[in-house]
Amino acid sequence: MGTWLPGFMRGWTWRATFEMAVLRGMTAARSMVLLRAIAVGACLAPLLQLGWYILGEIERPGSVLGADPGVAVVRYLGEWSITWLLVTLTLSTLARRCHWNLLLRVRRMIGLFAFSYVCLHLLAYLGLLAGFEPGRLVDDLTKRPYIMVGFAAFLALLPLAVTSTRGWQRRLGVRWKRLHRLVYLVCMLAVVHLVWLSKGSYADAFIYGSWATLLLLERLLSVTRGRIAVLKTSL
Amino acid sequence: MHEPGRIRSSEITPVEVYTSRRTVLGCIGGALALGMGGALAGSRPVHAASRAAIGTYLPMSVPPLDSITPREYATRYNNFYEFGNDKSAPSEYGHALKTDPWSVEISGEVHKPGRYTLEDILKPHDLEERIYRLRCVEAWSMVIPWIGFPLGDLIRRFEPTGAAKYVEFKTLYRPREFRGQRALFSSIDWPYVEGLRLDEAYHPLTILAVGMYGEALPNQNGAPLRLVVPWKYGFKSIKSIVEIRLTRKRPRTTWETSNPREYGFYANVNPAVDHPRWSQKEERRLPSPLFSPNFIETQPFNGYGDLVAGLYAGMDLARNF
Repeated sequence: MGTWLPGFMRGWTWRATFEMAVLRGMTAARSMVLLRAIAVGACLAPLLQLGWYILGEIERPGSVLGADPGVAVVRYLGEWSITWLLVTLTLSTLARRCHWNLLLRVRRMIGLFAFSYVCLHLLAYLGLLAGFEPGRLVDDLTKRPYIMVGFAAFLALLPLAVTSTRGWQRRLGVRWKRLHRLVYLVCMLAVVHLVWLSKGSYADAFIYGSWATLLLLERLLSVTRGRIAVLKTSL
Repeated sequence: MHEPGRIRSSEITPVEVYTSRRTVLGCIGGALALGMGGALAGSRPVHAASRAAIGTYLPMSVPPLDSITPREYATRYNNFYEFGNDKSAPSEYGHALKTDPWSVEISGEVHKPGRYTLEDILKPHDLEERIYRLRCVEAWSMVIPWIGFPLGDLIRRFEPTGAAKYVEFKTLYRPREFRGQRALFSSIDWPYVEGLRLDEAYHPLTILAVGMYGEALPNQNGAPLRLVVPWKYGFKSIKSIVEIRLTRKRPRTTWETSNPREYGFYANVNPAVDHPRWSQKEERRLPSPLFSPNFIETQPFNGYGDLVAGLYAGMDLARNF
C-alpha cells in the first residue's frame, strides 16, 4: 500500500490514519466496540431516513417522495443494497491490502445488513409496485430480463446469508470460502440489473459497475499472483 | 378497439361540473387577460407571447373521463431528460432555461419556410383547454388540462407541399441551460427528435400546448411550446420545440435511435403490446398512494380509440409498435 503515493507520503496507510485520528491508543477491545458502533450506525442511517420519509408520506401523501412514492422507495432500497454489498467486498480488499484484519470483524455484520436491504428491496417491489399480486410477479419474472437478473442475484445471496454463522463456517471449512466467492457473482448480477433498468443515463450503472469491476479485478489479480508465488516456491 | 363499457360511470365528470368548470376557466381567462404580469407572470420565466395569448383561450372541446391530477404533481414529477435523469430534476433545474426570446424554424416540404418568432407562431390561433390523459411508457399516468391549439391549423398556415408525408420536431439544444445535455453517460443523442405521420399531425386531438392548469407552461413541462398527442406514450409529446420540419421520409426519433427494440415510431398506447421493461396492461394513475398502488387498466389508444383507431386501419400494431 502506498507505493503509488508521492515520496513524502510513503508509508501512509488508511489504517495508520484511522488509528491516529480515531482510535488514539485505545485498547483492542475498545477500538473493536467503536468500529462496530460506527458500522451499525452507518448501516442503520439510510433505514432511519427512509422511515422518516415514510412517516412524512403517511402524514401528507406526496409531500416527501413525490407522485410515485412506491418507485422512489424501491429505488432507494435498491441503491443501498448494492452499496452495502460493494462496501462488504471493499472491506475484504482493504483488509488484505492494508494488513488490517480488524476490518474483517465487521464484515459479516455489514454483509448481513446488505442482505437485509436486498430483502426489503424485494419486499417493497412485491408490495408497493406489484401490489402483492402473484400474477404481476409471474408476468415480470417471465418477461422482464432486469427483474429475472435481480431475482437471480437474490437467490444467489440466500445461501451466503444462511451460511454466514460461525457454525456453518466451521462445518464447511475450505468450501465456505469458495461458496462465499458467489458474492462477486451477486454484485455483477446486481450491476446488470441496474444497467438493464437504466433509462436516459448510465451514470449510476457506470459508478456501481466500475466499483464492482475494480474489486473483482483486484481479487482475480491477487489470486493469480498468489498462485504464481506458490508455484515459484515449489520449484 | 375502444370499449366504452370499461370506463366506470363514476369516472366521468357530470355535465354540470364540466360546464361550470368552463365558466370558471372562462373567468380565469378573462382575469388573466386583464391582469397580465400578476400571478401568472410570477417568478417563473414565462414568455410574454404565450402569456398574452392565454388571456384569450376558449373553453375545452374534449370532455374529461377522469379527474384532473393536482397541479403540484404534474409540475414536479417530470421526464425531461434535458434537465436531468430524476423525475424531480426538471422542476429543480428548469429555471435555467431562457424561453424569451423564442423562435421556431419551419422547414422542409412547405411553401412558406422560415424562422418565426413565438409571437408570430401563436398570433392567429385561438387557444382552448383540452383535458387529456397522459400515459407514460413507464406505466404511470396523469390527467392534465392543457391550453393550446390544433397542430394541424399551424401546419396548414405554412402550406405543405404534396410531397410532405411526415412531421419532424426538434427540442432546443442548448447545453448551457439544459444541464442534462452536458451530462456524461447519457444514452440520448441530443437534440431530442420526435415525429408524426402527417395524418396524425392533422388529427384534431393533436395539439401544440403553451399552457396548463390555466397558466403558461412551466419550463419543466416544455415551455414555451410543446406537442401533446394523447393517444401515444408521453415521450412522443416533445417539449420546448424549436424546429418543425415537414419531410418525405419517416423521421428517426430519439428513443428509436437509442433503443429500437424498446421504442417504436408509432408508440401508440397499447395494453396488448408489452414494453420489454414495463407491462403495458395496467398503469398507476398518479399520485399513487405508497401503500395502495393506484392501478387502473390501460386502454387501447389511451381511451381515444373511437377517435383515432381509424388512422391505423389494416396495420399490424404489434409490429408497428
